[in-house]
Amino acid sequence: MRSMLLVRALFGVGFIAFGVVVFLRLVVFAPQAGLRIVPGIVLALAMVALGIHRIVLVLRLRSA
Amino acid sequence: MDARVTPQARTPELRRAVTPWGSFSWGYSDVGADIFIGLGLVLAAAAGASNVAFLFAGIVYVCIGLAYTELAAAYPFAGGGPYFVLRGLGDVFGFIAGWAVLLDFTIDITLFAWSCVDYSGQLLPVLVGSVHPWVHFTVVLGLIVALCVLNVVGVRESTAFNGIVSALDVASETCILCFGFLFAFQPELLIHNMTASWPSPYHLMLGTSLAIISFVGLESISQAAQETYRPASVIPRTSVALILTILIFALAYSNLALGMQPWHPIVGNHGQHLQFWQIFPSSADNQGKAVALLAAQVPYWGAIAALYVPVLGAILLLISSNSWVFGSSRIAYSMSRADLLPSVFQRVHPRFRTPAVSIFAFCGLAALTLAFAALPALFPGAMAFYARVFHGESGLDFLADLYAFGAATSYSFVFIALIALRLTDPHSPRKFKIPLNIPVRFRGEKATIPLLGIVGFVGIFSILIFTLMTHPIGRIAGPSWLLLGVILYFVYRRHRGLPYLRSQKHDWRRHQMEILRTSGDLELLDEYTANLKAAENRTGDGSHA
Repeated sequence: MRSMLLVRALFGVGFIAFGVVVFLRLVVFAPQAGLRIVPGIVLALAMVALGIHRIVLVLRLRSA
Repeated sequence: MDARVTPQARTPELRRAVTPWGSFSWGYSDVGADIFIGLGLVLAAAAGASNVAFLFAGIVYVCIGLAYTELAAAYPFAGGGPYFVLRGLGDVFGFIAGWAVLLDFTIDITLFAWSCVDYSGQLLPVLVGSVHPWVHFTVVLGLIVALCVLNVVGVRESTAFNGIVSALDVASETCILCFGFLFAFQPELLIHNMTASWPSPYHLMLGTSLAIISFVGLESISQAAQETYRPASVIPRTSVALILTILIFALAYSNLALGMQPWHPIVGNHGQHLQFWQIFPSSADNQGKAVALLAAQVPYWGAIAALYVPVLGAILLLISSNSWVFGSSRIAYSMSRADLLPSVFQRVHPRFRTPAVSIFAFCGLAALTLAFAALPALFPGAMAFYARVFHGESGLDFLADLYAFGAATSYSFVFIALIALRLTDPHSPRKFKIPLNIPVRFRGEKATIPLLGIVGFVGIFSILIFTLMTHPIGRIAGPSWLLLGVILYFVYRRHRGLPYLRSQKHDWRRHQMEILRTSGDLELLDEYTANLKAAENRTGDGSHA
């Protein structure tokens, strides 16, 4: 159970890190690309949101 | 959808044994398979704006997902969208929503079996549709017949098997996307492709209406609700993860497809180098196996992915096709129990105890749609007729047309039902509520209107309009299917002496108490009873009890 929670938390951290990388890679092109990077930015934010969702769930399960 | 359930009724109940992971994997095996079909179709239609098409459809999908989550947690009963519409809008609209879902499920049986063969064709060239159309047709037909027999006999994939395949697929797709974004993704290429290959408004609308098919299958959230223990707690948790996972995969694949430098150079017919997305517009074969082609072009991981992704994709699509056979027969069965369809659909096989008539009816219909879709490839003489009447759409396009129409229609009704139920049934406890609500008073009771429900309705309704404008077959066959259904409905209601437009009397309060009691969420049952009592005291009306 404990190791499963750890894997899930790592999964969450991985998604957040991945989202941040995608965000940073796209955002540097913002001046020339304008709104064209919006789908990519939404993708990055969704990754961060999923990561946070996983971590919050793990923390809630640990405290339960 | 039978609201005449009473605590005394001795009908067997579904066992509540689905865990949070089981609930997730149940949904994932239905919705997760969609991207395997949708990606190629959208890249072919929307070209450089494919990611924008997925973004628009994805935003609508998030609203749909939240609506289903709220409704499935509040009404954990295995009827899906048609059940919510029946409760919120009455018999006629419940029937129309159910009939649209039945169209979708029937088309899905064919579409997913078709794509399953397309993915298998990546490893077995004899199954490539454009080269061996008769073999392709025969194998797809064989799969439909096999699924029909399996469902009549009563064999269904287990939740455990779904869970393993879903876990493998999530891990696989995550690896493909990680390697793709780390080693092949070039933002400047993405921006270049979006600028140089931006489609016409017509093609953008076409792409958006096709993108919604990558997000269909949320019915399974509510189908699983009746078999999930304490659904009000479990469903919101797993649904949010499911919604985000599917959204991420759809957006990631489309951004990667437009912005990736292929691992191996892709050479066109005239020796010119092609971008990855450019292999889709001219080839229906490629459209049917887009994820396998993309996976093979991802550096390093692609060497392994080229071998296993077609197999994994084919298995996931076959599971999905099977769940549509199961789903269509159960929806027809429950609509029949609610007097929305003739009682023949309730007829259960005497030996196997499965709704055999429903299964045969919808698998037969699926085989008919397969014949219609495959006709131009099988008989080149029919191609001229299709080209003249249907703008030369391929078999896959034909199936996608109807799929998009059915999905957009049924989801539109679900949004209206969500708003209607918020107003007419404010007493049912909603452990999960869509955020952003406008407080109102309705018939003297406090209620709320979900702003995201309105946004979602506008979004899905515009996709329905896009579908009617851009799908030559969808705009003829879709409304014809609905019209046929409405005529049959009126004939049946007349035959049974039931009201045409008015609803029958349903005891929703007793029904709600029963489903809350069986769900294990007893504190919600207490809350519901207290809400009814408070309303009764306010109005002095004893009818709430």
